[in-house]
Amino acid sequence: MTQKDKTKEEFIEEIRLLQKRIAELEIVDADRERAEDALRKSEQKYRELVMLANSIILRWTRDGRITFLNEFGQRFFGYTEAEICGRHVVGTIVPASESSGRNLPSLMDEICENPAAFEQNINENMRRNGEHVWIAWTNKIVLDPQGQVAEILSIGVDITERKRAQEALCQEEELLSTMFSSVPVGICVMKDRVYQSVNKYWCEHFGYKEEELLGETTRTLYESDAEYERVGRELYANLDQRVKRVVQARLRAKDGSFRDILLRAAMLKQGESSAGTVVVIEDITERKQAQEKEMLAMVELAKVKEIDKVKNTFIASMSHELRTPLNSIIGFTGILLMGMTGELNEEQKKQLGMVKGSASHLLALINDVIDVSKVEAGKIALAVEEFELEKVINEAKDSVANNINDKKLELAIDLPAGLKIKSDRRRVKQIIINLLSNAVKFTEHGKITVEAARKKDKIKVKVTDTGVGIRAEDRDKLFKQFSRIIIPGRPLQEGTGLGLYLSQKVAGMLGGEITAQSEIGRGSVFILELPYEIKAEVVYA
Amino acid sequence: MHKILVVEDNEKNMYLMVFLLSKAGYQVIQAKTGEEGVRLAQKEKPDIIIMDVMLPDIDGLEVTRKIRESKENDKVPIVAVTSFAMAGDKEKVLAAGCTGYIEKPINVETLLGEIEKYLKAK
Repeated sequence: MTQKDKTKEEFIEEIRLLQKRIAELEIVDADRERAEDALRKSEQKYRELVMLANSIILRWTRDGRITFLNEFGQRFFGYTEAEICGRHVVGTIVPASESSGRNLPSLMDEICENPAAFEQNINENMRRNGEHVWIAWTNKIVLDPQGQVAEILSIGVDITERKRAQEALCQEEELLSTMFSSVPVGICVMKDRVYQSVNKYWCEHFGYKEEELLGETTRTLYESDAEYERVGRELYANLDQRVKRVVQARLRAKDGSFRDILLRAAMLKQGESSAGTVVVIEDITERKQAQEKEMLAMVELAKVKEIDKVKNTFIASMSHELRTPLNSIIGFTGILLMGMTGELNEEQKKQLGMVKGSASHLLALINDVIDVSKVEAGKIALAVEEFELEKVINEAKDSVANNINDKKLELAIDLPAGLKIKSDRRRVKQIIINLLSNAVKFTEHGKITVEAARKKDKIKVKVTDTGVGIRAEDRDKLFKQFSRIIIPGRPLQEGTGLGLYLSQKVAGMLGGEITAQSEIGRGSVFILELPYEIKAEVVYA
Repeated sequence: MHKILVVEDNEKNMYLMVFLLSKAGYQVIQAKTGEEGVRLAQKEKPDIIIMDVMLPDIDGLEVTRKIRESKENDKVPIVAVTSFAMAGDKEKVLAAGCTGYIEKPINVETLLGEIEKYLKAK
């Protein structure tokens, strides 16, 4: 059928079909446009995502050439897309080697060889300005139709900060652990009184090996269950991080010896709960011993002072109580001897003289005892003046004259005329009297010589007798209180046993001393050596 | 004749004093307690007072202070004759207002001389 042959109806039908076809085509077109539009939009979205993502998105070829770097990555590394694309990763974003020494070019090869093993890796990268950064990469291999590695898609996140923080933490940990193991202080961490960790010092202090303690309780440190519980109660009750408890305890070392220890505890917190307790020890054994010693010394001193006080009170009261009756004994015998109550016959005079002599001896004893207590208490005030020694020696001679005459002894005094000394006159005389009366007491025949001389700053007074002498073994006792020299075959000499002791003490106060030499059967020599002038610092108040 | 007040609680020592002082020609007034000493010093106005320190009621130092309170007796020589002979006892006695200090036992040969000395110094 030709066109001309077509009927009007046929044309209409054809037009209708064509119109339908056009309509159909229009629909297809619209669909395609819609699909294209959607694709465009989706691509746009994807592009935006890639470009704007807060991660580095990098595509690079098997031989290490960069084909794509997203905007974030460009900004991060400091290159524009034009600058970076086509360049090799090494020398741009990858340094020739990591600071740790790892070879990165060879790492690239490894990644391509075995991509599955490198899906995730962390390595050191480099910015354009040379700054090194740490990046955690996720790597995806894109294969070509032949199944060969075409490209590698890497998404990276900058972890430099995290890495630094980690390193700082590691350093801190290292520092803490070094300190823990090297400080000369015992430290341990325990939980429920079981050792979690313990440092070297602690172990050495108690004589244990670390492995002997870890996992064990601290019970072995204590002598008894009661003590173990007490310390537990006091150290751990209501403990929190801010409160640091200090408890004192006697802890037992492995060898059984005990040490006085101060335990300091602080809670180790992990979030809100306790991760254990840190206990630090301080050994105070020596300090405590020193304190105890000091205490004992103080108690001892107090005792001595108390005894001294009692002694002084006793001496004072004894002196007072003996003087009162002595006053009437000596007083009345004096009155009787003076003949105030009438004439006495010779026998009466002799016997009353004996009473008076004995009473005077008793008085001398009291006076010596008081003198000793004064000297020992340092309560003697010295009256320093310049005086002639000869006068003092003569006065001393007078006080023993009767005894010398009774025994028919010879007394010689030999000293340079006008020899003077600056000292306490009364005390010097007291010493010379004592030395003279001793000489008289122990000499039956012969001569007593008193010599004096000055040699530089010293004055020497020498009393020599021809008496019985002193045995070598007695010589050390001479200057001790209440020591009496016993002469075999002779009655004990009357005396207080305080004379030489007192004289030596007084000589010391005057800045001098007394020495003795003797030979049994030949006699004795006592030398009083005094400074010519008494020094201010030896003046007692 | 000088009037002398002896304050002394020990009977024997009082007898000794009275004997010695009367022999020497003093008019002796006796006080056996501190209170009596204060009273008699006030009443008798003695020329000199011999004072024991340890007395049954108030001690000799207190007696001395009380005697010194009175205008008429603030200059009278008071000589402590005492058995207190320890370090510092003399100073205590003088600080209480005594004029002199004689340690017991007394020396009968020199006591009167000392009393004369205090009377003269008055």
